[in-house]
Amino acid sequence: MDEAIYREHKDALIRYATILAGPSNAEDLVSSVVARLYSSKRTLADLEEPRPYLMKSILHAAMDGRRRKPTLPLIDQGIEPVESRPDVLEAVLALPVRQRAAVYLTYWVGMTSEDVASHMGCGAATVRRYLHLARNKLGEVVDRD
Amino acid sequence: MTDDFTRVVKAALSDVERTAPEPPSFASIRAGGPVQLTAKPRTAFRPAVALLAAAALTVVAVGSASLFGAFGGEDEGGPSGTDPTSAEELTIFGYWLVDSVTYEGETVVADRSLFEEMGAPVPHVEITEDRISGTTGCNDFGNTREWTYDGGFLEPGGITMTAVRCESDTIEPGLVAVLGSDEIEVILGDTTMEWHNPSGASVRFTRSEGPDPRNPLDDAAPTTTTSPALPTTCSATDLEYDEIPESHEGLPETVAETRAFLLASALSCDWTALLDFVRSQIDGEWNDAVFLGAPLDERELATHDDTSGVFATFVRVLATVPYQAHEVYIYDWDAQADTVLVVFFWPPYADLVEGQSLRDAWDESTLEAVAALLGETVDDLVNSSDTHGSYRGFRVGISADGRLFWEGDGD
Repeated sequence: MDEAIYREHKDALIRYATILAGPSNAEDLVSSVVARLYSSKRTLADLEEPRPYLMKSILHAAMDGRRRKPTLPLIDQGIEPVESRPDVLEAVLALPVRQRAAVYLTYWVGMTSEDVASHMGCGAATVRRYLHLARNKLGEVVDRD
Repeated sequence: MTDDFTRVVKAALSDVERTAPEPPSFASIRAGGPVQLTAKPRTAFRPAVALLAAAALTVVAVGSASLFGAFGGEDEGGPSGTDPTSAEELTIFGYWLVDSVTYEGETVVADRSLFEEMGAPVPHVEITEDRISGTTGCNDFGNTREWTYDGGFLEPGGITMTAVRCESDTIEPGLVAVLGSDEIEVILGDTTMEWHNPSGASVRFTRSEGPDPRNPLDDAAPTTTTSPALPTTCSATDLEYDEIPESHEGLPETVAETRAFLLASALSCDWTALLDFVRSQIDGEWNDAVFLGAPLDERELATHDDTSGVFATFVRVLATVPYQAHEVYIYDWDAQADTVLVVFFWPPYADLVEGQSLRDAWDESTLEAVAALLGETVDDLVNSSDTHGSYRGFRVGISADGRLFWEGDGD
């Protein structure tokens, strides 16, 4: 049963981990939060809502990791962006982790502020504050063109 | 512009998402999996974050180490969410001795024998259906409202703490930082428990049968149920304002009215008026309000506690610091687009980018006013600003339609 639960969520988790910590750290991030669950003698089946729990854990782990290494893997790896706006890409990756998480879950995944809040482990008003701060930073870059 | 913004940002997010690797297989994770990130040493986090976390604890009394029983009451309740007992009978309930605290990159082991030698209570947390309480070894703490435990995350429920000056504070700052978090990730073992807050601070516990009978202070567990004494003065009464300071020039009438109301409430120490006004501004999401750079919730105003000098700061900011109008983008979920709100900020919003400092955002008079408010030099103020673009201090913002707008920790 646990494997089925994991299969259901693994793609969303790896994408989220990639946004927060870069592709080179994403696999470790997903593995570590799931493994930690089992190290505490719980299982995925114990969780009432696995995805918010795992995404909160990924965010926490990414926030620990951000202090060790910068998360700018895409530029370093020379991956060509679709719209050729490397400045925007760089600005997104330069956002503080929680702001980046809020932007991703809102603009890309399309969650409501309440859903974003439950996946980040904070309140909806806090999500709005993160978005406001991120919007200010990204807006300058987007409008530059 | 808004459509362009959404499209361009989505494209950038798509670019990042495209690079996602294959998720690890379930079998590999269960077999040990890749590196455990959380097992690696944590580096220090910014002092401002620590201060914010510490500020989330509302200090309610000075001079007594046995007041936490005073915060019980009818509003308390048991945990909601899932049953705190997990599938294998692991339970968060119990009496937990603090083993170690990791804070700002350093791990401090709690030497229980040292506390006993000093005649101090051993640092611990006791969790029952109704209550989270304990001691740092110097100060006692307890919840003021319902605590919850759901899906491995603990929301402590408005922890308050006594404020005895401690001879040794090696354990307390980290424990306070974790307890002051809105949410704590909990990892339970057979006889161990770990608490991790989002900022990287953590506490490790070992389950115990209960208070050590060899420690007489533990036996004298607080049982008082008296209410904390309300302060008879507030910080704003010491200010040299005989009347409400004149409004700054150029403010729209609605903004000026809100500013005057806030100043009048603070100067007259009208707790109820300010509490009601603040409550009316935050759409019921009380705990997310940020007030003058520190988390504000019902505890501080409702308990009539002015330990942090919030009223005086409020008056000083609105009366002495320059303001500036700023366009704020608010995401409208219904319209799936941003709307623009004009907000007047005291001090001006400092939207810094990497490599800039407050000198790039503020003129000299603003720098001097804020530095004076903080009791710092201008150089200290500039050097402490955040390179990610957020001024890490208090700020009052009033929207053009007269609502109070909060700013706080920018990260």
